[in-house]
Amino acid sequence: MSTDKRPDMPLGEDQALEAVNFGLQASPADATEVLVLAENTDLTRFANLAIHQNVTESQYQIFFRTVWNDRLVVVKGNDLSQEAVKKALLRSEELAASVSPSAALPNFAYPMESAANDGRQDVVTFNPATANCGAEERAHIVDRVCNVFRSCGVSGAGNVRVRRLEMAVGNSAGLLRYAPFSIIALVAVALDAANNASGYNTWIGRDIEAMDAESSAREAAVKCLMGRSPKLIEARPMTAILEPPAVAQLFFHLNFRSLGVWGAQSAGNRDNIVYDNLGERITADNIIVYDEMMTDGLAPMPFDYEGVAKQRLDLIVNGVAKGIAHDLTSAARFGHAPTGHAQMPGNEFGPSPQHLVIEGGDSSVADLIESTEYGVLVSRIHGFVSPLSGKEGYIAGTTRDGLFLVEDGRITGPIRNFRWMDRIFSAFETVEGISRERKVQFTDELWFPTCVVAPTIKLGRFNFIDVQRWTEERSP
Amino acid sequence: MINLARDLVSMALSMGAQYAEGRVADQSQQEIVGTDGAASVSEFTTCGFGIRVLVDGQWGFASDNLSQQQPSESVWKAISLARAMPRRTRTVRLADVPPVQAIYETPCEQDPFNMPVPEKVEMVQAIMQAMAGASDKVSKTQAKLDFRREESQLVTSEGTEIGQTITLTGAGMAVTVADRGQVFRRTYPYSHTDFGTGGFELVHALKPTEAAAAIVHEAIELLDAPPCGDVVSTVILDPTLVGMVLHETMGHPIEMDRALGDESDNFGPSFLQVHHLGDFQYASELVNMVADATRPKAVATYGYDHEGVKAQSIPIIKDGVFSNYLMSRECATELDQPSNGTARASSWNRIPMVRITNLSLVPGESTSEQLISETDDGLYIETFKGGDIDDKRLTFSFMGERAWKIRGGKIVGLVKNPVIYGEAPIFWRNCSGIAGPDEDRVLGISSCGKGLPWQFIPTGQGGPPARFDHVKVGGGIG
Repeated sequence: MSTDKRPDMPLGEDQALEAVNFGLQASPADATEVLVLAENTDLTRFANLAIHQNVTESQYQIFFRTVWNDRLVVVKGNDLSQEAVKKALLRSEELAASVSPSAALPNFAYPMESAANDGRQDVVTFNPATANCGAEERAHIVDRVCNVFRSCGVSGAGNVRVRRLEMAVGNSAGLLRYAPFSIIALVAVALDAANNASGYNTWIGRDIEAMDAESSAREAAVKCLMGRSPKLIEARPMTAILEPPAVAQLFFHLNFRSLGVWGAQSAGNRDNIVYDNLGERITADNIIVYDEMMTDGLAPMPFDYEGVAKQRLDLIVNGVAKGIAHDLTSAARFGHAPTGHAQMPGNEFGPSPQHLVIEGGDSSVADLIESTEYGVLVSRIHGFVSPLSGKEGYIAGTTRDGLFLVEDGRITGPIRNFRWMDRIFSAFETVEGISRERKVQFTDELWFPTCVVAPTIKLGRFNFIDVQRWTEERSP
Repeated sequence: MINLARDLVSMALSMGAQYAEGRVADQSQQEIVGTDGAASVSEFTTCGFGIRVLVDGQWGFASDNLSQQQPSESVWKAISLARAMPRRTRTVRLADVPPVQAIYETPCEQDPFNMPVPEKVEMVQAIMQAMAGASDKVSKTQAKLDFRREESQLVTSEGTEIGQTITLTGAGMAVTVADRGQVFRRTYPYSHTDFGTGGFELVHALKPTEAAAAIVHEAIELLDAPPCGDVVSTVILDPTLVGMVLHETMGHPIEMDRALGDESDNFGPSFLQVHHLGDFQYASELVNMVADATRPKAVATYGYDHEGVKAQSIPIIKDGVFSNYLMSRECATELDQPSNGTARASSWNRIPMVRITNLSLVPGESTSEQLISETDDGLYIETFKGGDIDDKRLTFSFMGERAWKIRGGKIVGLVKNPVIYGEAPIFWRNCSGIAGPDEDRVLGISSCGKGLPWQFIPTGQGGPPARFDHVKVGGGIG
């Protein structure tokens, strides 16, 4: 890991590992795993070009996953004192007496083996300059974004978030790992409510030096200006050029956010189109998707919450379903090797990749537009969708932040947002082009942000079913 | 707890805050999760404090783990955050609220945290056994009991001191059946674990063990049911769907902070603007909707919100007209009104923000039988399965697990995968019938998401079955 000076970390390596070690030594269980997560998160939000929320949070979480006579128990707290650790272990033993033997138990020896073979332990996860970004600097970033918005004649909202994270995990098979993280993220949303228009852009990374707030804001503002006064056209299935925020949202929702088809839990529930079709072609053959934390632009996470080293995981190769993510428990159940994608103990959605990468193609975005006789350019898909079927990869949702009609190879104007409903892998069978350029998109429901490196993808057919008709002028 | 909350506030005042709000919370959760006959138990606890201050009209908030016990550092951080950006922020005003000294506790007939764990594990196993034993087509059984408690102490610099103990109890189950290559999942009481405020008596009231075999047979029936198809039709929604449609199409748009744009960087603003208040015909005249944080046993029932404002029942839609927002103290000043007590925080490390409470469609005078008998051609849709709404809370889709076709006022057959979609005001203006109080039911979810950092919080939603005309159904799902 990076050993640079780490400012204002919530715990520090020694204290984090001390808590893990004490838990392991004090545990009388047959097998024990202790995970410590600590964070300092600072967030500045703005709306209507003014800051309205400025908050900071320090939080610890300590998880004890213990096995007692083949019975698995999870207890979590946020007190790292030795007294609290002993109490949690005692409680674990009490609970174990009540529960059934587990159908599949985690093999705690595996993370140790994976750590021993991990050639990427020195990945840099922390940047002191990022971690040092304080309230004044965040406000300065907000100022820069708002100044761009003002100069473009639009309003806007957004946020700047700085996170200092620490993860320490150990188990009774001898594993002991620690990693600090710095992450900074910017969201910029340009708004022109009177003209029913908005534009969105985002940036996330480990290094604050790489962030260009003005450029991010400018792209959002331009999209907003392009989208003013959208006209109404009827929705129907048609060609759709999905820009990176739109592609990424689909992949977030195929992931843990909705269907979970990249992970073992939905496979266990018999509700996973990828698992059901492993080895079969499920998209056009130019689609390549994998999980790889060592991808440019991503904040790396060298091991998962069980301490298993992260390796590249192929999900779709040339259109063929290749794999899903496994944690120690699902690996035991499925007879598969763990992939380094465990989530926190007790989570609801099972192992999930968090560094998704979609390979770029050989087109430019301009090529994709110029080759389109009639279709739409979709700037973004709303983050809230209906997960209809994991077995079919079926999702419904809406577009947002700029939908544009493409006619005879050029963008002819903004149109009202569409509702869509489609089998996503079927839609991806109709891929007609993929851009070289890619962007990192993120979602932050989980402790560590989940990213997708996404190109612009042109689909020959996407099932749009309705259009937003209601407008302000229809109100009294 | 109260001493720490008092200390936070007094330190904040001494450091220059004009207003301070200290909150200390101890949250516990116990989950018993059953899968394919095996039950596991997890317990989670978190204790900490948050301090929110106003300095020269600017907010600052900081929080830390209770075990850290360095509250002065956190108070100073909150003050520093408030001071960090003068002239860049909007100036905050707070609606007046009388100081309150109070204690509130959720009534629990049978405290789930005092019950022996094996008793709860046995119930989960019994539910799974009942499902597994009902048919050899059962391929997966799942059951869950979930108990949560928050003990909190709020102290404000205006003299408010409120201690609250809120207990939530939740239960739910699902069965997956498979036959001839077809797979179907059926849930009870719906796709979320159903939560309420109260004790284990809420689990008993659901009668989960009795329901287990029934949902297996219902799932098997769906294996052979035809798809719903694509139509424009009259639909009657059961309380689970009425509730979730209310939640998304009325609950989120009426959050005033959202209407003011504060959520524009996340899941989006609201199409309902302040000028709509009082004269916008959101729904047909049959429709009345309340947000009631005092409804007994509903999941978002509490004594006071996290700004110290008493919980209340708020008429939101009156005779179809949009009549009130949900408001925090800050939002309420935009309308020169008092707060209506809906500012809640999901934990000690989050700020209070405007949240949905318990939304319910006010019962009408009909019955579901009457609604069906009056329908010439339509669908009765049951059991919320999923749904979404756009970034302005206007266009939506919702899916039920099953629907009954209605022809000539009678149920004539079962169909699967019913999806409805449309636009909120148009949909609600087409409401043509609402069943009566005997069929009124509010269900609770534990984790409605809003805000940044994310806050997942319990909300209630429901009402009696209701009928809507000219609704788009299908969308090609088949």
